[in-house]
Amino acid sequence: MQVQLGKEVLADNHRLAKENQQLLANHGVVMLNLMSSPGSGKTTLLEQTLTLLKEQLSLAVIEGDPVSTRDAERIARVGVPVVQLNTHGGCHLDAKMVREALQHFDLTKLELIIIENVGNLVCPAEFLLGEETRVTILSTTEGNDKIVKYPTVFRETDLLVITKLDLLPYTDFDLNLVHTDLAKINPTLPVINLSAKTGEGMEAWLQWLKALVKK
Amino acid sequence: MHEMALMEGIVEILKTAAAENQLTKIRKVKIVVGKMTMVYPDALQFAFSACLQDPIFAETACLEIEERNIQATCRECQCEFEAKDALAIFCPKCESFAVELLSGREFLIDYIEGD
Repeated sequence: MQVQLGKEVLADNHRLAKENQQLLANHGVVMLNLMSSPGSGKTTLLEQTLTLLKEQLSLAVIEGDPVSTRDAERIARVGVPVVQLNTHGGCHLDAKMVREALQHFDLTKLELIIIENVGNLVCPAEFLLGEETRVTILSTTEGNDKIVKYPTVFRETDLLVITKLDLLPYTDFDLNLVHTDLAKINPTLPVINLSAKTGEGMEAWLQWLKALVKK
Repeated sequence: MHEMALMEGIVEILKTAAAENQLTKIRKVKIVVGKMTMVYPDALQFAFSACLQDPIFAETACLEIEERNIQATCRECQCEFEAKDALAIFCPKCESFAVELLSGREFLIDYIEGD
């Protein structure tokens, strides 16, 4: 006997993501999904961002890592509420994990939740979490070819942040080539170049975040 | 790795569907994967073979994967076209990148066969 299903494999995840989105909308909270390769500087960027923004916005962070609480400890030192999710080897966060993390926050007091997804350019792109916005990071030390090798994550993002700008002179990274490659997959994608270490370009990123919350 | 995690989710869906349709053994599963999706058919096939020890599957159960091409419409000139390259999806007529994907992002279980 043949049974027609026509069921999306990720349907349950997408349903939970929608519920997360509704829950956040009810409380007027914006959630951002931050994605990149491991070692691109997500946590360093977050530390600097939170330090500069925590007096102006009420923020919280969800940290996703295969194991360890190192990132959550770094964020907690900045003095921002943080929940660490461990995927126990899994390569991405899903909507159910994020749902559990959200229960640890007082949503009535928050304006912006930043999810630091597991460092990976493949799987996180497939799993909606209930985020309003996706931000993808590419560091100058990773090389230009990431955009060509992992087009899905760069196609389905709302902002590209180029990090480690201070290291640009020591690499072969070509900022112009980023725009040439993006023109093929996501021509209207805004790009912010910055260095969390020196502070160069941080203002544009902070303004972008503030505009997102005030929208 | 990623396909293994996805396959675990698929097996759960299959078990529910089998129970709802009074199937005790699944003989065949047909899955559709778009070429713009980060799912690799060979790895999915391998993950499926690793799940066959589950009693819901007949010993000879097989997985058929249909890869779906990337189809899009141009927002500028409204022409419909097939993109060969997942990276460069632009209109072959007017070369606009303002395109709407019609297919290529699917990842669904089409049907199951069983007894």
